Amino acid sequence: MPLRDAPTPRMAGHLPFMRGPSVGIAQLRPGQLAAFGVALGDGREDTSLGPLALRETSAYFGSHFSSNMKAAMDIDRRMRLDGAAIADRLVDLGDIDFLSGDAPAADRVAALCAEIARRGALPAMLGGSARFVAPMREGLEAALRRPVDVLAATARPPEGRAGLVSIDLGAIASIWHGGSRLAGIDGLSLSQCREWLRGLGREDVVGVALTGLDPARQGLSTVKTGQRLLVTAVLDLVYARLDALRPVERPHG
Amino acid sequence: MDDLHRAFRSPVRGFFGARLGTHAQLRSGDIGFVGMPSDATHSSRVGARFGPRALRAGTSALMERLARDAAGGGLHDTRSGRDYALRDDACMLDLGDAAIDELDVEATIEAIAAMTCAVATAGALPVAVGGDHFNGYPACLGVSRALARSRPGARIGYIQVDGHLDYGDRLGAWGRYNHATNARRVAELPNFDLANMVWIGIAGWVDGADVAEIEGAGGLIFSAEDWHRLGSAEVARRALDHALAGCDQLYLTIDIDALDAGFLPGTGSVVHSEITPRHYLDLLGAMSGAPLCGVDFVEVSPPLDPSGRSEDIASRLLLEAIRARILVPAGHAVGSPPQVRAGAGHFGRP
Repeated sequence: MPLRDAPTPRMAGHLPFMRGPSVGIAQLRPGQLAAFGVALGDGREDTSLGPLALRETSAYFGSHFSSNMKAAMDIDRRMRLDGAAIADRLVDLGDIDFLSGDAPAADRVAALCAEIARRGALPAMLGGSARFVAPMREGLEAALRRPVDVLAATARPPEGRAGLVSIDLGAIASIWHGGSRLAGIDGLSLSQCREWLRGLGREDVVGVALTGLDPARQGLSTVKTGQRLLVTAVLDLVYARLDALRPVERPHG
Repeated sequence: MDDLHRAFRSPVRGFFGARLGTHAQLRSGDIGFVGMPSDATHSSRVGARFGPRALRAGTSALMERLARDAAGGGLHDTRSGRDYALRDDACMLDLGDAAIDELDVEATIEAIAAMTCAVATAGALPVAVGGDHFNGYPACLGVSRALARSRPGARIGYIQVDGHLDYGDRLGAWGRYNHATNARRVAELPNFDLANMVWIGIAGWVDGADVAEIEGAGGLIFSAEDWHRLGSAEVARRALDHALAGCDQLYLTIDIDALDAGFLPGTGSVVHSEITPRHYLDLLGAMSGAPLCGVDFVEVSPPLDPSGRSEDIASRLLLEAIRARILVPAGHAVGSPPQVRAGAGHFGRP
């Protein structure tokens, strides 16, 4: 079988977020959405494996970079994905290297987010612990020279202010995933979370953070419910922001 | 085999406590169970090969409870508010597992198809329990062959309850035969037509080209969102109308993975559909009285849910799918009150 006809590897080898291109910070272009991993927990939850799990699960959804699916379509919303609207606009910078050098982890997160923002791209943190949302915000404020609000579940940016969207697994009700010790029974459903994020697609959003996933937790984590929920949810924000969805007519009415 | 196990005080129990038997013992109107313990055609998280064993245990425990309740004060369905009784004329036999060859998918196809064909040829209802969803194709193939012989030219309606379309043509190293291609393989059978095929519960991101092909040929797809919006009763009504237009027999394939993983994590390809067990119960209950010519029930993967909850829920759902064959509204019981006949086990013909 010629290599170009070989099946696309699904869950093996190098898996960038959404099967997007792996790039260095110097290659970033304005308008791109730049994923990066923060593989650190906080002692309470082992969220350090979060970036790995999120990238692995996102491979299922990276149809626009894969030959396994001819035309991705959200059957629930009857919307098809315009792959051209995504291509080269969603890239992966890899994980922050915390092993070399002496700078504190929070400073490194802030510095990277500032650099991404200065290059006109939008940072998307694959956490990791939620404690890195604060330094992410500091980095963005320093680069953009304007205040940035952290937008937790269902919040929208106040008029004239920028928002950093914080999607913590604990904000989604534990009945749906059981993958976070912080999860409550009064959290959002996935559909509520998706509706919120779709609405943010055209707002003044300057960053997004996925946090709180402990993929090694026993129970529902066995079937990776947490990372699927987070990836499914964040795609609504990504696709809305990149204007990548087109309606599909229903022939039977 | 019975004698051997009895010696260890561990009687062999088939699905729903049915005794083991062969297709030669089946009569028209009976149910013949076939186990399909294969997940070699699943492309990611396996474990469904343990499904038949878990569901034999789960449905048997469920049946024991039903029989106990029926003998006590009767069966009360809290959803409908109605009382039910066990049908005394119901006969279920477990034909055992098909011979699975993990290295020879075509041999596995023929082994499963031969069993469901034999059940259908006897005039009984084959209920094949997997295993991953690809096994639904050979189960359906056997029914197709039997009906092609007994009723040449007749078409069969098809309803697939599933989180996924399973309508791909090929999938990587698995080629044409895997858990993502079974519906397309069924559509290629001579007595099936896309115009009479219905999917219920499809969730999230799918291949739009498959959707266009299905709908372009007259097939009908209810997404999980449609299911929420329309409700189970209406979806069942529309699905049956569509599948049975011009057909008088229905093949029903039930993949449990349209259920949200929060409720049922013990399956290989989870979705987040917010579909609950109640949705399934209402839908399957509404379809239970349809003119079924074959049923398969797939993708229960006990190793993926160590709590055991998934197989318990699945056992209850399987009961609902064939409820009309087992239960009747109280006061309409056929024959005498249910009883365990000597040497037969529950629901076995002596």
